[in-house]
Amino acid sequence: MPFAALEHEKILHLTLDTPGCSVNIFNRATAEQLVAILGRVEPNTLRAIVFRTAKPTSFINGVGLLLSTTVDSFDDGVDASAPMRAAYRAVLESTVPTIAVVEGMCWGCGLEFLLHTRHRIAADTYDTQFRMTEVVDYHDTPVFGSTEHLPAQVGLPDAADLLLRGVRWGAREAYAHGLVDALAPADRLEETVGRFVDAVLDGRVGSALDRRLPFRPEWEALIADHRARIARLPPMYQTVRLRVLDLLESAARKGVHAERLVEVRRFAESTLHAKNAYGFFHIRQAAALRAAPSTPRLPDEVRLAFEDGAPPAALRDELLERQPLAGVRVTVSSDGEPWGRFRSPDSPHPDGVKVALEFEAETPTPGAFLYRPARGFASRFVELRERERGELSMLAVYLQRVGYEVAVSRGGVRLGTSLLVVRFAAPLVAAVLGGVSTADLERTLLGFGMMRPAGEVLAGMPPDRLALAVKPHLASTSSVASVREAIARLLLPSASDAGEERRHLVEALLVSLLGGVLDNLDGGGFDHPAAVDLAAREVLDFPLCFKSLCGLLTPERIGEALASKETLAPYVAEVDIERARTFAAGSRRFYR
Amino acid sequence: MDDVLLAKVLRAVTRARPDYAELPRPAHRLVYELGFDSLGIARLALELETEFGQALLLNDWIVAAPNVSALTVTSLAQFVSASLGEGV
Repeated sequence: MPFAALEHEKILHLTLDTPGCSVNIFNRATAEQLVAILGRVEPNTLRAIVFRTAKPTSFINGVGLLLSTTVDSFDDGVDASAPMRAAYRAVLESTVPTIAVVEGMCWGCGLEFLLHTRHRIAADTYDTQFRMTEVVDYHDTPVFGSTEHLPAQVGLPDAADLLLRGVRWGAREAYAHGLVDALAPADRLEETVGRFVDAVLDGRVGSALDRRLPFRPEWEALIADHRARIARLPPMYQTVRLRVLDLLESAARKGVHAERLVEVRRFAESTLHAKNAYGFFHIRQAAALRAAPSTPRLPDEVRLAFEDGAPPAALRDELLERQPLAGVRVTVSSDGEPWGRFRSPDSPHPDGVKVALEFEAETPTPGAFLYRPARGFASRFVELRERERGELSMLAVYLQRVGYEVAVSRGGVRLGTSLLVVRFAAPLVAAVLGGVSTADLERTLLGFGMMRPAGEVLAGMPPDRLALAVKPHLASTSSVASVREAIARLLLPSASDAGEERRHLVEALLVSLLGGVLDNLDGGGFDHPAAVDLAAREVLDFPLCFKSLCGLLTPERIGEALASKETLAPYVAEVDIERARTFAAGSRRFYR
Repeated sequence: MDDVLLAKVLRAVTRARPDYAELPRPAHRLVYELGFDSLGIARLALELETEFGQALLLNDWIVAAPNVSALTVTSLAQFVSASLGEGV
């Protein structure tokens, strides 16, 4: 059974441990068990119910995306979500106080579960993270009450940040924003939880469920601002965000949704884009599993050393100094070495694995290194470069534990992400050199579904190195200086919103990116399409609505792109067009 | 149904759910009888890749199903067969 139930001194402890899974999923079996348990609770026999997890890195990660992709109608949505909604309602209506002890990831439906409990305490560790994934990652409407309860409990601004921007809160942010009532230090967890429970039973802890933050006049401008932001997004992303914003606004003004199952109705109205977006979940998991096939126990001490003053200072602060990783002591030092090192007792390398954060090594390093591109935006993607398969599994696990998406590459002389970034930049640089305005480029990418302007994607890269890397992939001969100048223009935001969408540039981009995919899979870089897709999604912002880059690049689709070779020629080198022609004539698919 | 293909699919399903007591059968529904969730499906895709040597995207199989109950081992084998072109 998913929950282990233990009653002690009239307090019922329900510890969730989803069988056969590294994370907790609030699935149908969990819901049915909980409804049955809560149905037997009598207030004169119990003083409180405490929800806990047996997995310190996972409180509740979700409710089961599998159900979402088979929902095609409102009735489907009602049926599929009914057991979980019943369980959440049972928690909300519990006649005894409910207390959630959050350790690990509390995502999506897990966060929504939390919103139904009366009191909450979070373990103050980096593992403990709160996030609503539905809109940003899956183009979908949350179904279990967040659009109604979040405005009431944390206020509309924070509710909008969580739902519409997918911000991630650590334990301390969750406490500061009122999502949880208390923090428990990792080294005094049980003691602190015990005191918290006593305080709840003594009536000394208020409940978020009793909180109804009233609508504030300044929220009118916030709502208008969100509407304006949404209007600037690719059209395919606007509908679900507008729907969620409408629900948030309604709840913020009126307190409850007028229609009881309105969230389910919006959820069932999901388009194909949402189903494709859910498909990316599997790709993301495949990349994660390949990066760390097993989950080795992390050493008691993790040492990460970074060059003093290097950009990773932000990484260091975020990862290591603000919140500890449960059970692991992390030390950070600046020892003046040109490369940082990751050390663990099990490392096959006595000196540890070299760690650096760079766009591209000038020469292949004998060690392995982190590549954290796009420092300009808060990408959580890290490429680990291995020499031998599996040598960085420990580091991958560590980085995944602290919330990073990790893909592993090996072989070749360029980083896998670099191979993609260069192929992304090349047709855009060619377009700028050919006189296409950056406004047109931004409009074109937006129409394709990319939310980030090209300049934002490329902003973290050293322009000189990028120019040298891009130049060989240009259709025409250009000097490095002119390429660098074109890149500089790409980095500047367009002065005008009135750009024209140029579809042939999308075709050129796809043909160019095909080259990047093939360079990776065939030439040394990422050795699996899931890793390529993760990098494309996280770094290039490849649209979720197309499933994935490797999923989209089929012989048929490339054949379509090649149909108008004349319009491609200015933007894609002839050798890459030939390569694409060979691909289109074959039967190779990156996924079956 | 190609017995060799079905055997490979069953092996992949078994490895993707090592903690499950009951051995999978063709008629078993992945969610209801075998307890698969989204993460399990991701693991299953990798196990199928090990068996067949091809990266597989199972989302198309899931999305095409009329309902969750239709996600059986048999339907999975049919999807794999159609995807790989190995015939049923």
